[in-house]
Amino acid sequence: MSVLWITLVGAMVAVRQNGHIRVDLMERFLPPSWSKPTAVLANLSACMVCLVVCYFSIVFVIGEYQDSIPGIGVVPSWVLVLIIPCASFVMGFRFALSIFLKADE
Amino acid sequence: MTILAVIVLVLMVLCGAPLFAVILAGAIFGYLASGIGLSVIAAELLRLTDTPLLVALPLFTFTGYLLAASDTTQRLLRLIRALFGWMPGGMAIVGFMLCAVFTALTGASGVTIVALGAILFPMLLKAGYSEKFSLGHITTSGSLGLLLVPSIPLILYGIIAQQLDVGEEFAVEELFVAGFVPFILMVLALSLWTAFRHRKLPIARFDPLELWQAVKRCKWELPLPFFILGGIYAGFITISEVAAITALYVLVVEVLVYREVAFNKLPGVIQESMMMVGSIILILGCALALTNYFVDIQVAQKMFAFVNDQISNPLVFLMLLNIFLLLVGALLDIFSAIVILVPLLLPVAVGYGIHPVHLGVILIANLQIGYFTPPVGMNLFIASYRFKRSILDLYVATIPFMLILLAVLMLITYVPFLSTWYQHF
Repeated sequence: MSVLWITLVGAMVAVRQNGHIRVDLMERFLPPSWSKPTAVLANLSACMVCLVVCYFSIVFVIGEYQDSIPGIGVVPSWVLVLIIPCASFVMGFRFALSIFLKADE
Repeated sequence: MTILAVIVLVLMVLCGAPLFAVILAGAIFGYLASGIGLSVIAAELLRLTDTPLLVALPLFTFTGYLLAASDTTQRLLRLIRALFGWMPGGMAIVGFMLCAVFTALTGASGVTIVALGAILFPMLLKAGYSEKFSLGHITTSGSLGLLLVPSIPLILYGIIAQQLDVGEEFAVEELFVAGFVPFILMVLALSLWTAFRHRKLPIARFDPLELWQAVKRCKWELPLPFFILGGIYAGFITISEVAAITALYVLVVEVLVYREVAFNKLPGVIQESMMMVGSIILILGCALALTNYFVDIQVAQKMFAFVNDQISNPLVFLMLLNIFLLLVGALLDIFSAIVILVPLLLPVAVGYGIHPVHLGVILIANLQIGYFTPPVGMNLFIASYRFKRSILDLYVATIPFMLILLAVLMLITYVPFLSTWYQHF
């Protein structure tokens, strides 16, 4: 369970620091003027994916709650996996934010 | 529908969307098409992160970043120069080994070139090696050691292969045993060539006093390799336990004994290493979700049937596999390549009678060379950026190293015994 939390917290930070692994092949070969529209598309698609995952992981959390799956000690599983929708929402939000930040540059 | 999904995914990759998002998008499309509930994605992530072995990943990564932040590299270089400086080509040869150990810990994320290469490069030049050789040396060494314990890509391969259940059971520790001989062969081939090429270079005299001084300086770090190697190969404790003890030991030594990493620098190191862990494990989790879909529509079986129609000879299959993997290694970074390819390749390879452990060694060795394969190997760009040389200079400098490693690759591909010898005892 600790690995799940480390992963998602790290992943959230990585969105902020632009530290996620990407294939930056085109960036090297396309003219710089292309970078703005491609970045908007990249962030927009990533944002949408995160929000879809957020929605369906809420469904997953509710399922864990209804089946009262045991977690660690007194803490039930649904509390522990709550990090999944939270993290995907934060990441989606960050990606949305960077669309506008990029447009301002 | 399928064509539309593929177009969207390719467009995402080309625009530079984070890889985990691309893989997730693929999984979402697939699930929608085959009617699986999308909440499986969260369940897959949970299942993966509950794998006991995975605890080793954040711990080893943290250890690697901590060592990179301290002066360990300088101390080790001094020791190694005192030990082997008298050999022809000694400086370069120990450079290979040191880089390999470092890469095994940090997973070829460019840390070796940036942290260790920066110190090694001027030292090589001062010792009389040509600039071209030194550049090639450091760029090549940046991915050497991926077959050495406790290499994170190798652990990753083991985790994914075990999730797939292809009928051939093996433990992750076996991968480390299997990777050892191929790794030694690579270092040996590079060293022999280096020594032969630089046989006329002036060499330093062996100085026992200097050696003693150097040993005393890094007495706290010396037990580390024996400890990791011994712990994992001897099998008294699990990989996760070795990782935990190593991380704790390095933390105490660097922060409290040597005092080179200040307390207020620690959060930075933690953040940096956990960012890397987060992005790798997230990709891994997303890829497993996608693999679920692939298993559901039996992609691997169809691929094997198709490939088997064209190629009946396992040797021809291996040769084509090598070429394909070199291309992939030049285009994708190693973690994404493993995560995406293993679920597709492993069942096909097992169909040809290739042992999963042997495939793992071939795969990692290939991706290792792919790291500095022109025109787009990642290490070429990192070295070009770090040492302010044109990318063309680096192409030229790395070619002889690449040819040597390719020869070794051929050997380990076609002689499975080099990887799976331990199964015969």
